[in-house]
Amino acid sequence: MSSVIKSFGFLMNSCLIKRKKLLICLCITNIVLIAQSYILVLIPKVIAGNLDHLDILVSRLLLFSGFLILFYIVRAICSNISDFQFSRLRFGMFREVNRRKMELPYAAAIAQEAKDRYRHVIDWVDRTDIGLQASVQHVFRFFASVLLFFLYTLTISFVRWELVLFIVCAEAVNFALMQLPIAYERDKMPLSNNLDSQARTFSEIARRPSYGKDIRIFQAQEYFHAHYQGISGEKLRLTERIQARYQRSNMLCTLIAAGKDFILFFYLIFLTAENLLALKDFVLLMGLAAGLSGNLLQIFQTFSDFARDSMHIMSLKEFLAGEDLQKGESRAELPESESLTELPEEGWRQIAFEHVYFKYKADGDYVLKDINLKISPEDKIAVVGLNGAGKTTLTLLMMGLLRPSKGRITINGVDIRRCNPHTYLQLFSAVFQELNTTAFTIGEQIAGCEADAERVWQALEKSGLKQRIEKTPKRLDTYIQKVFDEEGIELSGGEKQKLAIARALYKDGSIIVLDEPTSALDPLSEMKLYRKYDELFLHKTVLYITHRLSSVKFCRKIILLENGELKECGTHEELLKLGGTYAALFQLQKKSYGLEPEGAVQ
Amino acid sequence: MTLKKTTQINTHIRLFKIVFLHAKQSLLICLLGALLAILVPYLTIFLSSSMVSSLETGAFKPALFFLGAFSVTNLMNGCIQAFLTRRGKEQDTRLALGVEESVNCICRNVGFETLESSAFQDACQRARDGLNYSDGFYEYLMCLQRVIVNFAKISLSVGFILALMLRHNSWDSNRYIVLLLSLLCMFSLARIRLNKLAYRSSSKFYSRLAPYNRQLQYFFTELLGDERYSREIHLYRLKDLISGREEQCHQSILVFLKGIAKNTAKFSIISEIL
Repeated sequence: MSSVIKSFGFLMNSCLIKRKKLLICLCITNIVLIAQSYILVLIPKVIAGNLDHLDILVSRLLLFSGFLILFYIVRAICSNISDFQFSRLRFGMFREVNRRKMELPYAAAIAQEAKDRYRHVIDWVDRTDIGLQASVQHVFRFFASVLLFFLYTLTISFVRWELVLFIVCAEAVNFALMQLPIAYERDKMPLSNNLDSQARTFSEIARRPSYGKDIRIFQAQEYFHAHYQGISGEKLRLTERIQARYQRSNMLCTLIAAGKDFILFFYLIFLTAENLLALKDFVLLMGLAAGLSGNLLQIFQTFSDFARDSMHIMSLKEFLAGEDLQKGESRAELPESESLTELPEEGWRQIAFEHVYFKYKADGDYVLKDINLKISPEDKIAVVGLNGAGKTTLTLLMMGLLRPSKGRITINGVDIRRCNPHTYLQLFSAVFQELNTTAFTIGEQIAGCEADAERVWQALEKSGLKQRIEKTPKRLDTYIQKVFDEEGIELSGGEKQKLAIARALYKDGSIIVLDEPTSALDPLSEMKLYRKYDELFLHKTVLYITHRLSSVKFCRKIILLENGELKECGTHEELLKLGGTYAALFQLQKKSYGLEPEGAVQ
Repeated sequence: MTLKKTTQINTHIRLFKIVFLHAKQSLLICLLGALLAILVPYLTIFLSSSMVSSLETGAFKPALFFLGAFSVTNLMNGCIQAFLTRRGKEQDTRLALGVEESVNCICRNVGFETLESSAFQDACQRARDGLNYSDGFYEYLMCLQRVIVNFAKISLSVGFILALMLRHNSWDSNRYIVLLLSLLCMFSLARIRLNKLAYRSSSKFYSRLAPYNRQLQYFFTELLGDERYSREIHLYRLKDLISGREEQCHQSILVFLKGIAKNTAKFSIISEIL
């Protein structure tokens, strides 16, 4: 019950207060609905009572018709306006949810729970039949039904109050019966959602061109079709089970309703036969009894619907608050008294890892163990190791996107958790292995909202993409992909990489992280490119992440990670002399890539 | 027959073929539902008015007989409706999943260049919008049911008028009833025409909305639904850019929705008056 009240409060505070037009429209619609329902119940009595006075009957019927037409018009106008206002409400909520998703700490944002919750919340807000819009309508319909119930009860009580009691009891039994299949469906909802989600994933895969190539190359059409058939078969069986329960419950409800009507009308006929009830009151009570039954069902139904909605509303509320999503994050906490500090204006002197451990899940294994590392301005450091050694995790920790599970990372001796995350992130420019370009314009891609055109062109020139962009008709306003513009361009893998470099150059962070941006290239091309980067970022601190050792021989410090531990550290020559894992891997790669001994490439 | 009419008929035939292919029973359920929707209101009105008129004349036994018949009718109707609803929901799910997979099959089997083209992606988006936002084929079958019910009601009214005329061999004795029923028929026809006009008016907007809906899906499924973009969003502070772009997209869609609301308002108001 408390969640229903909280949901109602959230709905009113967060949604409807901002959409006053919608609030007014819904109020008017429901008031009109009450008046309309009541008039429709009264009309038979007026006809039955005035059959002998035709002029009075005609004038009253005309009056009622006038009101009804007016009500219909008002409802049509309000429904038209509220449909549009509901769209605005939905879009506003989308923006809030998306903003919240972007504000989530990186570790929480990439967790499966956050992804599932995000998808669920967006789907729920988007749906008009059982989503946010339906919840708002349930609230108003509930209050309208309660008001109408009092109106009907009051009118019946003037004639026969015991009828109200009988109808309420019968409808309560009916409602209890109706809840059985609903409870069963609710139990099966996670399974149903899961099947829907799987089916949607298959549809997404079929539609996205990024998967299209693989499907065609590997001729996986039949494979996907078979899997989809499996999912749809399961969904159909589930639907059949649920609907069978609904059918049984509906038949029982019909039996009770028919029995209730029979007893009720039998009693009314008996009263009329005994001259205890006038014919016009008989007609009125018939209408009122039918109206009250429907109205009570509506009250029970809308309350039950809103109780179901409240689960989703609370889910939305929690997502917007964002607290729940960060619970599972495994990280060392700071004392609460310590507040955030800004970085010193003169810049940074040292970033240090002090006995840093990290694991992605609280109950998982450590991905990084006891890392001790010092990074100074203008260092050129290579982090090498086999796949899964923890190289990327190390950079994400350094950038503050992940937080250590144990130990700490400091900047100028201050724990980075005490630094303002926005100013701390300003220190870094990064190019990642996966070259993710958004579908926005080239200018926006490089500089975000506030682009300085001159600096953007400079960055493009340095990265080697200027000529290509100059040839496009809209230059910096050219869209990548065709999502926002039909004339958008598609970039090749190499061009995307240059664009990512241009973005890193434009940001001008003092620490550059190059996380295997050239993994698709052959070793010789990669080595040449790394040397170019060395020139490009001459006065910056650069972290090269790679598993190809030959590409980063020129670095002044090479760190070898193995199974999450920092095993070796030194220059290329020092590590070769050490004769450890680095030396063994280097010899192995030299053979397999067919490289000559060092110096030959130069 | 004009080309437009031929195209419309062909579209309906194709739709029937799709329904028949994925959920044969849907058509039968639709017809049975229509039959109930035609018969039950007439029966209910007939039985309850007979009950009232029996009471008016003081004939209580016939009133009880009509009450019994009324209750049995409601019971039968409820049970058949429960059965039809169950079967209808099952067939609806079967149809939705089947049609969705048909769209998927088309996407998987067209040439890669076609898949990449905006025209195809828009067409695909329109197909999905149709399935998601207008209850797809289920709504189509419901419309079909309503058409059958309305057509039958009009036929019954016309038949009733003709019967009255034939029985009394003149217009005079029943001219008010004939006039009233004629008016009701005219209003019904006018409402059908208005609904058609409203549908045409809004469908123009909806078909132009597809590229914007595709943009909306891009935000949900790619930029914010895909974890790959999270690092970039944090590191390059793309939050404001994405929020701004999203708002632009929403505004564009709202312009269309406003257009739809304005265009359909007059039709719905006139329809309600009628």
